[in-house]
Amino acid sequence: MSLNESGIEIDASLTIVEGDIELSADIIPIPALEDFDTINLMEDYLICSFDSTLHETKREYKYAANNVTLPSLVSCAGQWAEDYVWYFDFNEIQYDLVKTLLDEKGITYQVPNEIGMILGKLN
Amino acid sequence: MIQEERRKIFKKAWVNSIKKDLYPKYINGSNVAFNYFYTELSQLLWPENNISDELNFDEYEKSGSVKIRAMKNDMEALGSPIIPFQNQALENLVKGDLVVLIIENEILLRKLGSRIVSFIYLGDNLLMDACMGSVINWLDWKENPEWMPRLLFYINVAASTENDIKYMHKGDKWYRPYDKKDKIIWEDFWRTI
Repeated sequence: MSLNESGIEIDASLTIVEGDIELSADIIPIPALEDFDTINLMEDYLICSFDSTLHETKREYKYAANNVTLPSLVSCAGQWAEDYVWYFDFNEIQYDLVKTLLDEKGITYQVPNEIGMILGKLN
Repeated sequence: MIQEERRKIFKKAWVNSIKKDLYPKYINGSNVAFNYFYTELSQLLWPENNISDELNFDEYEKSGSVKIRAMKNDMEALGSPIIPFQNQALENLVKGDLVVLIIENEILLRKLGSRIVSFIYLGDNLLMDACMGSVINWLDWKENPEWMPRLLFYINVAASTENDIKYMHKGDKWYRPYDKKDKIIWEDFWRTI
């Protein structure tokens, strides 16, 4: 559970402990789910991201094992990425429980749309 | 389909895709001309019963190149699975496949957010970039010391036609190509491109 191959995605995990959501990763600090601007609820993972146009300060992350700081992303050459995308994997049998807990906490999330897509939409 | 027809269709889809995506619409946008190229091509090959003219790629422009899992989900919704490269060669691809690679020069690109770049495979190791503006030869370009590219995965756009299972639809309009008849047309189009 660490920095993904793309270098801009972080693989992390989500478990249910004593009826509540617990997040874990090799990278710290792990943002609270409430902090993300966009959350996509999938069958066995969450896609969590920030809209960098809404935030003035950048988050800084480190590897928990050695305290090495992850590169602070900047946009360049027409490509935009100012923050990392977090994936929280969970056991798919816990999908309903995760959904219920997100609802109880009032956390806004999106599920795949009517054509089964996340990014692709119909006009 | 004769060669002149293929040329006209390709050129029309190419020109229209560039017109639609000469510049990203959003401040945080990336070029997605290749998305428009696929939909334009789909419309030109199958003008009827085709959902592609209703597809909206705004979110792809904003975050498609950084949300690989979201992209993977969407490709699976089209019936087009992501196939990882087993080695650094464009083997087993067919013309029209979407190729995704990562650029890895840690010194020059250490802070660059999006290292994922997409191309359309044109056959003979030729790749057209996502902006639809240039074509590279992979055999030469893979040695590029500035970018240090590495093949990640490819997507067979017409994969869903193999089993005749129709995937994404809205009412009676479908994503195409979607069956074996479409596959014949798709392959015939790309055959001499």
